[in-house]
Amino acid sequence: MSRQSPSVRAIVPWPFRIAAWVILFGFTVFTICPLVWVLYTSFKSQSEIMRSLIAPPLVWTLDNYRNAWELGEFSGLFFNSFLYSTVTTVIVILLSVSAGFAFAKIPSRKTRLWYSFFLVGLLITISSSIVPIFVAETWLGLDNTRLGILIPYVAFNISFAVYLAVAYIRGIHDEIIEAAKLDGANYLGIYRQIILPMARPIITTIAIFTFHACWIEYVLVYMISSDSSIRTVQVGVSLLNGRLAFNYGFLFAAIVIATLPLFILFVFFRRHLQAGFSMGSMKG
Amino acid sequence: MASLKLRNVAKSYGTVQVMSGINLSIGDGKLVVFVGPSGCGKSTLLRMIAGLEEITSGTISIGGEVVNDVIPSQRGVAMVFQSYALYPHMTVYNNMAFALRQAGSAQDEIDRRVRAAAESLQIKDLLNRHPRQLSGGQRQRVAIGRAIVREPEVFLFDEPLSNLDAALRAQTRVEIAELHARLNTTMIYVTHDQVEALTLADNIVVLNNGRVEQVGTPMELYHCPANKFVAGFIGSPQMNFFSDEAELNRLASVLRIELEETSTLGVRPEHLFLCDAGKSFVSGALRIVEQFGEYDLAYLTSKGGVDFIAKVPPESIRGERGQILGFTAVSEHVHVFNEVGLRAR
Repeated sequence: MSRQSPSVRAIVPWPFRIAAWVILFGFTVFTICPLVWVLYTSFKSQSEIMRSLIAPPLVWTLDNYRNAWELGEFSGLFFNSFLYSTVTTVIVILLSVSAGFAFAKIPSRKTRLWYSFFLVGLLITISSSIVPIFVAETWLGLDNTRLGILIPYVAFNISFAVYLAVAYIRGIHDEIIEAAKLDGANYLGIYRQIILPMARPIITTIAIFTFHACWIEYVLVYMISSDSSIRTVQVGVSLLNGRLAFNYGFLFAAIVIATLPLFILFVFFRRHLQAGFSMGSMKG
Repeated sequence: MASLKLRNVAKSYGTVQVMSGINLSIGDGKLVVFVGPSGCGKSTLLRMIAGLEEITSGTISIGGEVVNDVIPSQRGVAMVFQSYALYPHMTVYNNMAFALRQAGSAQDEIDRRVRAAAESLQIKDLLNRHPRQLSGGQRQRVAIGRAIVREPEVFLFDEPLSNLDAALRAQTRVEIAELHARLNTTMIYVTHDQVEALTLADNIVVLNNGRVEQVGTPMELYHCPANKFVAGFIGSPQMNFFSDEAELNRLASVLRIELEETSTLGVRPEHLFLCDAGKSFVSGALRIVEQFGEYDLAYLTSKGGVDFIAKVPPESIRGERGQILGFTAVSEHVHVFNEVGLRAR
């Protein structure tokens, strides 16, 4: 960054730089303010909220969290969210890095075709295909089951993960793969001993993206599950909204509970996320 | 240590033939250099020997055994890549031990061979480091060490010095020559740098457009190039060529040799000597003089419009730009090529 700054300063005139800072600052405030509001309101009692919706709490309380956790039955919802997010993430990593290795380093007409097939998946969203999914799952007897949620989760997350994996693995020198071949490693050995360790930054990125996508997913679980025992935190929060429409304290505490794991994930893995995006800049 | 034979080796990508009719015989313990311009197929040929590229037709034999269908790791070859191709997540020790572990060697044996190779290359202090913690020269040594521990029958070097700076390149070149003398193993070395080729090789294979132009010792190639391409490629600065009819007639009479109208005459810059313009073999208008300390290079243009270079003693030319200078040469150093570029004399 320090090397870039002077050149940016030289190229961009100061009025534009000031304008950029003002816009970015405004955007940041616009994004952060509602989050801060939700956070401190979740520590206010219902009476304080009714007195003023905007003011910070005079007395900080954890009652909203205690009640939201119990009323919303969050322990079960958390278990489900963790289960879907973790299992999907593991499966997506294994499949996408394997596919990425094949698409990036074992090129043929067939692999190119398969890669295109995966890329088309980027254009399909859960919302746009919820009806066929529902019909297919009902037909297969997968509706209202955890497997019926996991399979679409893997399917809808694999395309982007493969795209990231291919882009990253392409950046690995072919000569490293060839050196491993000459050293006696077969494709499985190369995958296990060379590609997987070298792809650690992109694996972390894929893990964060997939976990995040699964954690915040709402439409599929809402549509597929009528059984509350297989629902996730996101659906739980939305149902809480219906039941406690005017109890903002409960509701905001539930939102904080639902968001906290993602916040922790980003705080701890921010660097890995950046490393994953600066892919292709590796030297041997 | 093993001999290597290539018989009618060809390579095509679809309908495009990139190499054809490659016949080579490389003796035990020889250091052979493949040299040629970019895109001539020298690296492809090396990769075909390594088994990293399939051949379309022909046979490749290592140690008398045809290896066309043998996987790279079973061919008894080890390769040093241009980019070093070290495994970045492994320490130097693990990089060097990787092949032995794949082969299922015992840990004692792995340790002995890795440490012996590290000792011989003076990198034993680097064994616990990762490649990113090494300089270019150190990485190069590790890459060579990784090849040595496998104790291959044939070493393959793919432009191993091209990423090093000039000083380190010269030093590493000498080390590779010493390594070859010590191991006495068959080595094939690919380069586009003719200095590396001339200084390292027992034999040089000159490649062009996917074909072998000439095979010979460095001095054979220098003194008796088989064709105009080899004559132009070997030697720095490159050989001067004269094919203008008027000039050829004059040159033929001065040198007292028979020349056809379609001939091309070649003289190396170091074989041209300054003389009076009246007695000269060739004369030209001076364009520029480059001074190298031990010699000067004079860039001239002949009357026929041909640009040529003369390598002359330092500060022997004091003329100005445009001055006409005459040069002569002894007939033994004059090469004649026929209309298709083959050596005629």
